[in-house]
Amino acid sequence: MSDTTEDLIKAAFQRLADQAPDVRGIEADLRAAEAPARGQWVRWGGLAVAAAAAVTAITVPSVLTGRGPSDTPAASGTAAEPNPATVRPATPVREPGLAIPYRPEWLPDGFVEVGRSGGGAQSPWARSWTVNPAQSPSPGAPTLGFRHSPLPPDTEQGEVIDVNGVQGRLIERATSSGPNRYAEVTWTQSGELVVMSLSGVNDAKAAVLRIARSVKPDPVAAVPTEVLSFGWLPEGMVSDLTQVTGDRPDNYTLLRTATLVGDEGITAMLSPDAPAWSDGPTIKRTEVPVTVRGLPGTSFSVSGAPPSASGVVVRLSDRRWLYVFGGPDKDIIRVTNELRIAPLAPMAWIGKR
Amino acid sequence: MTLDEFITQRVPGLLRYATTLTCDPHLAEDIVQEVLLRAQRKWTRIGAMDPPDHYVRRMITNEYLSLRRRKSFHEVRTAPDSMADHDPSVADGTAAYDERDEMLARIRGLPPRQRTALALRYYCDLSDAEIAHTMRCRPGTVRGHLSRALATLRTLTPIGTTR
Repeated sequence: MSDTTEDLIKAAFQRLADQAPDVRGIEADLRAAEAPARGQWVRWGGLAVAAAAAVTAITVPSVLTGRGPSDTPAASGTAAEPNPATVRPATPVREPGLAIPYRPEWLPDGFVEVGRSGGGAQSPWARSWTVNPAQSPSPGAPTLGFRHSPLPPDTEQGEVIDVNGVQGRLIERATSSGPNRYAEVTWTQSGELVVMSLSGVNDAKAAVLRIARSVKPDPVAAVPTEVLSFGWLPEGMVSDLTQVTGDRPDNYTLLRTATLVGDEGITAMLSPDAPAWSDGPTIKRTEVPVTVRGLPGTSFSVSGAPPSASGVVVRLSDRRWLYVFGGPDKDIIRVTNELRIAPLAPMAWIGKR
Repeated sequence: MTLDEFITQRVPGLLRYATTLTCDPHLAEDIVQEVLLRAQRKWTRIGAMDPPDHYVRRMITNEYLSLRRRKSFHEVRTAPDSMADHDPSVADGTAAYDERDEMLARIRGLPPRQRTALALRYYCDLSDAEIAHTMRCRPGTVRGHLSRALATLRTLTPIGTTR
């Protein structure tokens, strides 16, 4: 191969590379998806968990009701009696778990809450909303994300806006679904830097500003960190992220991770969905029956995938599936056996405004 | 490195790499976005790597190769119109551009694994061992891919005589 030909190969690749798309489209879509919506596949090392089955109906949701304008007490001076079904308890009761400090009072029509996470390195709390969560998500679907912001806004981008007397910054971008369909506002809410991002709706800028300006303290919301927690972990590994996504109070997936900085971590996941394996010609999966938590389960390992593509799967007595994967193989059974799992309980906020 | 920093500083380069891999800016964007959505969920670990972009580049490479396996097609279907949308350049009419375009057409015709190895060698400037790590195969396999790719490019009609 002559130098000239090698030079031509390099020049050809450079020409291709120069046609690469702009990063801003991806950045906008990523921010919109930062708290993933229900239905997003959790794929990991050849394991795919697909929505497949719903758990049976469970006990009555407690405490929370919808959070829309209908919750607002009748204005003074009106003769209307409040509807008992929409009256909040006099003293709101905080859900157990990691507190989420704020909520928007106003949302566009049809938006319901589908995800919460807490304890992650990027954001100590996050929550997300979408429309029609029971349907399969499609690219460009309406999504609203609200989270703590680890970084101040880029002061060289966007425009300065006012959020209830506080200066903030608004960035509007085109996405793959069209122009003016992504906007985010970063501002300081009660001393905390927060970011609200909205995508998949027309005139996202106006809508996200209205949502941001409606944010109030939330005395109730929390990330349910107590549902699934690690007992024993390998040395140096620390439990961090808890994430729950769903479309109904009784149909959700809860994920908890523990990580060792610079190394693969362990993920434990509770799901109503049975495992769905996506093997390819170069991926080989082996399964071995094991007993975990006193129940018959399966230990699996996947070759042709990252080294940590192994773990265990077991169906719990409440019909949920428990997946635990990652980390050293020798430790995974012990980690699984010592997980603390709360009884199946509805998450009343899922699918509500 | 935080995810925000990574997106700003490193993703443009990874998008360029993905475009050389796929020969299709739209497909490159889809692959990078899919990979970043997965990386986002375990960013604590990935962001602590030094540097994280090597790991993400490996994810992109294998997403592309596994995507092709799933779709079971043999050639990258590059849509000329879509490429034109992303091509800021205007034909300059020089012989250098003609030869470069001809080489590009030949590279597009290579099987995916050969083209991947070629991109990692001539665009990313990686060694056989580094390419093997990225493609999850042995160095000998990499040498085979490169050898066959170069042989194909060498045996095609000499550049400059096809027009």
